[in-house]
Parts: sequence; structure tokens; C-alpha cells
Amino acid sequence: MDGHLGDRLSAYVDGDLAAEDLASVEAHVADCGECRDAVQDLRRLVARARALEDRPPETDLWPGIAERIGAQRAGVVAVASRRRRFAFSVPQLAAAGVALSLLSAGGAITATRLVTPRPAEVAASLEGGVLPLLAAASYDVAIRDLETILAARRDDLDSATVRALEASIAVIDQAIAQARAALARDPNDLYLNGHLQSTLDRKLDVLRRAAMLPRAS
Amino acid sequence: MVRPLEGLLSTPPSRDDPTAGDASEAADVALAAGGDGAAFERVYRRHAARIHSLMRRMLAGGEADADEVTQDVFVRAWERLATYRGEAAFGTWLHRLAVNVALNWRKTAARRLILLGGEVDADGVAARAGAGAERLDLEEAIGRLPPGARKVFVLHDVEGYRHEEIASLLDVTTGTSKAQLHRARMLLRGHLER
Repeated sequence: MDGHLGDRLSAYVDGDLAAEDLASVEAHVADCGECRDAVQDLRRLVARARALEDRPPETDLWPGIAERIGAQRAGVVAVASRRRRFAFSVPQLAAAGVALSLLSAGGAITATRLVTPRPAEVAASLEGGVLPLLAAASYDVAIRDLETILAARRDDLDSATVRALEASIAVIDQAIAQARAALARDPNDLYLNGHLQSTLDRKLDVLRRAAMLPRAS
Repeated sequence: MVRPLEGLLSTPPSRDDPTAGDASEAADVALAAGGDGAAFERVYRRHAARIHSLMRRMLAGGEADADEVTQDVFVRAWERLATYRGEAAFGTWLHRLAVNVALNWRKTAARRLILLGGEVDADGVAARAGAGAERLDLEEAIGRLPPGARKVFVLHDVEGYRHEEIASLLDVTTGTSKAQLHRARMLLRGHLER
């Protein structure tokens, strides 16, 4: 039977036939009982395929995934603490600044307040040996600006989303406070400096993405 | 050669993405991109069934293969979250990533079999046992299709990709995609009629 129409049968079922083929295929199907049966069977098959239900894995795969991404994160932290001793993420601040400028085009925050330390300031601050005060201040300003935007958009966002964001930011804030407290006792600890920086980076990133979330429908 | 998926498909697959437009999903994705593992776990739990089912059907290698590749998909997603810009629903982005991982994983599996001296068919994957005489349910019947026909059937009839998209993904012509789809359907019809 398949030799009657070949893969034009599937194209017919899918409504994909060109006009010049459609009439001849319809005429054939009208005359051929085997092809009519096949068309009905294929339509049922396609409907069943579309209706297939997804089912979760039989075992929970999350622990294995968590282990793998956790190892990656540990690797990043270790590398960061070795290689990024005094560096702070200027591109990330710049990215946050771009987002800020886009979002605040009609608002109260102007481009002049965007925080991207000047090269001379960066170079000077890198000589310190710890997360520079200037960099820390720059983070604070960038974070404060993004928090201002987020606060202004609070009513535009889904309330569950806002709650989830605030809970996560609270956790990050706690980590920042702990790192700062530890640094007050040991300002030259390189690990603590790196940890504080990565935590600030993380907060900036969360805020930046949160500020760009679509308005709740 | 399997092509990268980002930017390749002009429209998302038509199969429903249960999280499309979900604001809490967007928040979790944003948090996960910032390094929040708990948010990423929520993302995983929303999408695990869909991705695992896709892998089970695409690979037809049983639960263990689907588990392994599903884990690979989510690890890759974690690594690449920063590249997600929100142009498409997150579920669509993840689905495309998953298809890409599955297609590349098949090649790796085929290489492994060649190294082990296994038989490899024209699709590059070891041929599976032929269909038995018993009546099969649709999931089982899909698993017994030849690999090329199975991939096209899953992508077209289950996931809703168009032939042009499938042709790009599999690096074949649209004519080949159409022929493989028809082959798959007729084989399935035979399996399901028994």
C-alpha cells in the first residue's frame, strides 16, 4: 500500500502538500480504501504522539547534578581566590551600569551616577593588597542604585517573584555581612577578600537580572 | 555535523511548555544565573520530566542513558545560564539545549561502540533488536524505530519541530526528514496494529 502515495501520504496528513499535488492525492485517497485506512491510522498516530505524557525520572537526578555544579563552583572560587586577588569585576559593574542606564532612562537616576571606577582609581586601589575601599564603595553604589530600581518596579513584578528575590538577596546580604565582619578582624585575609568580592558580584548579578525581569501580566 | 542550536530555530517547538511566561520561573532563572543553587534546583524540578522524557525517546537507550544525558543537560544549562537572554521562554531555550546535547551524545555513544567493536548502523548507533510480534504501546514502539526515523518522529510528531528545523539540526535535507518521518509512521503503524 505504501507504494501508492509514498511519503506524500504523510504530507497529506500534515497538510503539507503543495496545491498541485493535493488534488491528485485527494482523488487517490477517495478511490483507495487502503490509503483511506492509512490516513486515518496516521492521523490517530500523530494525535497520540502529541498527547504522550512526560514522566519524571525514576530516581532523583538532582543530587548528581548538584554534586557536579557544586564542584564547578568550588573550582571557580578556588581559582578566583588564587588569581583574582585584587581584581574586581569592572566589566560586571559596567554591565550593571548599562542595565541601569537603560532602565532608568526616564527616571531619577542619571548616567552620571553610574559606577565604573576610572582606570587611575583602579590602578591605585589595586596597590592596597585587600579588596580596595574604593572598589567596595563602588559596589555599594551600584548595588544601591539597582536596589532603587528594583524597589520602584516592585509593584510591576509578580509578588511571588518578589518574595523569592528578597529571600535570596537576604541570604546574600547575610553572607556579605559575615564576610565584612570577618574582614574587620583580619583585613589582609586574601580568601575573605575574594569571598566578599564574589558575594558582591553575585548580589549585583541577581539585582541586575531582577531589574530586567518582565512586568507581571 | 550537529549544529549549535541557539539562534537556529525561528520558532519554538509547539509542544506546550508548562512554565512559559511564569514569573517565578523567570526569577529562579535569574537567581540561578547569579549562582543560587537552590533556585536552579527549582528550575530542574520544573523541567526534569519534560527533558528526561525527551531523552528517553530520542535515545531509546533505557532509563540509565536518559538519566545520564538529563544530568548532562542540566549541568550544561547551569554552565550556560549567563548566555540565556530571555528572547525565548526558558523552557524553549532548555529544550533546544537538550536536543543538541542528545544529538551530540549519540555520536559519543557511537564512537564508544566502535572502540568496543560493537556493530554500528548507518545512523552511527548500534542497531537495536528487531520488533517482536507483541503489541506495543507507543513509547515502546518509538524505542524500536531505527535511529534516524526515531529522531525525526520524536522531533516532528512529539515535539512539534518543522521539517526545515529538523533538517538543520540533523544536517540532512528536508526531503530526507520527510521520508524518515513517513518511514517512522508506517513502522509504528505496523507495530501498533499487531
